[in-house]
Amino acid sequence: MKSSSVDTVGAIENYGIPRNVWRTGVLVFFAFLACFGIFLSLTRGSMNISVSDIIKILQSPIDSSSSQIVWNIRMPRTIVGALVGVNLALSGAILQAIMRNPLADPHIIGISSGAGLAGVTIMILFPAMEYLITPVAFVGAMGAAVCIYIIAWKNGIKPVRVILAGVAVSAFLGSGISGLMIFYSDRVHGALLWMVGGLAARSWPQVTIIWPYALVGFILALLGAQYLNILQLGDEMASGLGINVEAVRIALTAVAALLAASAVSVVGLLGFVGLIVPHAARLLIGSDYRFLLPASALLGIGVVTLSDTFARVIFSPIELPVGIIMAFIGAPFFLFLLRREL
Amino acid sequence: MNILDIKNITVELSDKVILRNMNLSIVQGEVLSIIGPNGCGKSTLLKTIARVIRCKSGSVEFEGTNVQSFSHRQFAQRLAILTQDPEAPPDLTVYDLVKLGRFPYRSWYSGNAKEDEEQVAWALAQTGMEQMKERLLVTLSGGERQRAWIAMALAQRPKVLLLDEPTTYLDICHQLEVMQLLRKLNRELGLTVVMVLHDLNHTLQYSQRIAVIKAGEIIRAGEPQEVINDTLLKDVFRVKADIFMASNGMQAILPIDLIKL
Repeated sequence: MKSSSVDTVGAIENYGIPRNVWRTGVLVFFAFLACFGIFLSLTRGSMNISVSDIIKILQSPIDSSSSQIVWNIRMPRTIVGALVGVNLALSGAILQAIMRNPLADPHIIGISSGAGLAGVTIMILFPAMEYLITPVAFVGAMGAAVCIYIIAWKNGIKPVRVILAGVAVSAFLGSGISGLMIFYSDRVHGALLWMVGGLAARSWPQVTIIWPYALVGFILALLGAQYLNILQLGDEMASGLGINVEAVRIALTAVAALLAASAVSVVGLLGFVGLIVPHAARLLIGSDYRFLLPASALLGIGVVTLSDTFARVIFSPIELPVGIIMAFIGAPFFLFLLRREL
Repeated sequence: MNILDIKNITVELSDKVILRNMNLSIVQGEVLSIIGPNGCGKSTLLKTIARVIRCKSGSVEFEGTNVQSFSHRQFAQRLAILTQDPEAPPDLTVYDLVKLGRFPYRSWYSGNAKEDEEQVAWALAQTGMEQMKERLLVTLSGGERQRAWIAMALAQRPKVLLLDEPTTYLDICHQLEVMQLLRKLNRELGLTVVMVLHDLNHTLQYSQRIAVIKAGEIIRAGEPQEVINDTLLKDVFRVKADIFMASNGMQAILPIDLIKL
């Protein structure tokens, strides 16, 4: 037995709890974590607001400074953070199955860079057309995914080739972003913050951009759950079980790209959420995508809202971009996975 | 009656011709083994029949219909394939695996849960896996695991089962267990079994017909006792072997030496 299997098996079998009870318990725990993250994100910051005040403010907006802060700043920011967490976590979970690679994550393999290059191009060269950022970012993300497949394809998809192709595509597109920023250094301030990925100054307009994508992406991902389960048996077995592997892979790549692109277009290149969250969720709930997808979505909410709250308060009054916190946790986690799985 | 007709197929992978103008008919209800040296195209033939690989020219027909004209699900209800050493997530149970075999009968808007349960129970019973259905696949022995995969394929209710080296990595006891299970399924259910085998003794014992492939072409096909002889072993495998009668009245082969060309 491979050492990588043991942990997962142990986590699921050892306690003698029936599987469905265990899975429900994990989902409840992740839901609790998500609520806890949202709650902290609403109450903590440069001005701490007590629980009773929050409840009052949420029931009826009043004309006080704390009400202003909650309704105009913290609430939309929390919602954006939560939805970005959902989208990146789902995108990562889908990519890990269809690219047959435990390290697949929209950020690491360059799908976010594709969205990023497209987004930065609009931001710097055509700032008047900002409303186009999300659709153009989707095209960029899809383009990057197609490049990765073309480079990695050789009689099938091999996990190692995917990651190498992804790193190459990511570096290539990253150089495009850097080039743009150097040529137009007078216009880069917005783009610079966007490169790290942060939730600062994200408000209701960003909420209206991301929620339709999050909703549609979540539904499409759940519809694909059984396909993802079967793709885990390998392309040939999946084909034998009646799946049109190429068509399904293209469709699910589009869903993953849509989720990642909508997240990137509101918060920028926020990395590692799509890597850490599905893995942590998989360790507890197992690899059945019918459960793994909702679990990743809930854990994504918890991780991003908690990290963002942490990023806001740790060096208060200075606020760190949440992307720095994610990279700080995510990079060692990536190395840990690399040692364990490949 | 032929259940599968392979008509003049040519298959290329990465611009290299793997199978050349190949013809083969598979009779309903038979056990057919495909043998040949490494790299001769055995697995490619199996995957082409299963529509995993497309042929460049020629056609494969299932009961007289070109396999390409079936939908993916329709085809999976008729023919199942087990590839060599398939992968599975580490926390997959036998039951969950076998349930995946019902996928061709389900879609997101329809499907009969009761029918699926009955078919899964039936497939587990046929393979003797009822007692192990809650076990994780990774905790099973090689032979049990192979039986679980066969149960998944049976849950598809196929008329034809294709297997790529089903006994590789198994000890001799588990090898026999798998071969006897396949014989039982063939006799009791009338399942047509087509498999790639390396062990020539298994071929002699368990198959009604064999096809010998060398360099992408079928050079002989027929009953194993007639096809396998000194000349064939020399020409195809470059070995000198003794062929003798085993205690059960079947032929057996013992390779003695390599033949230098």
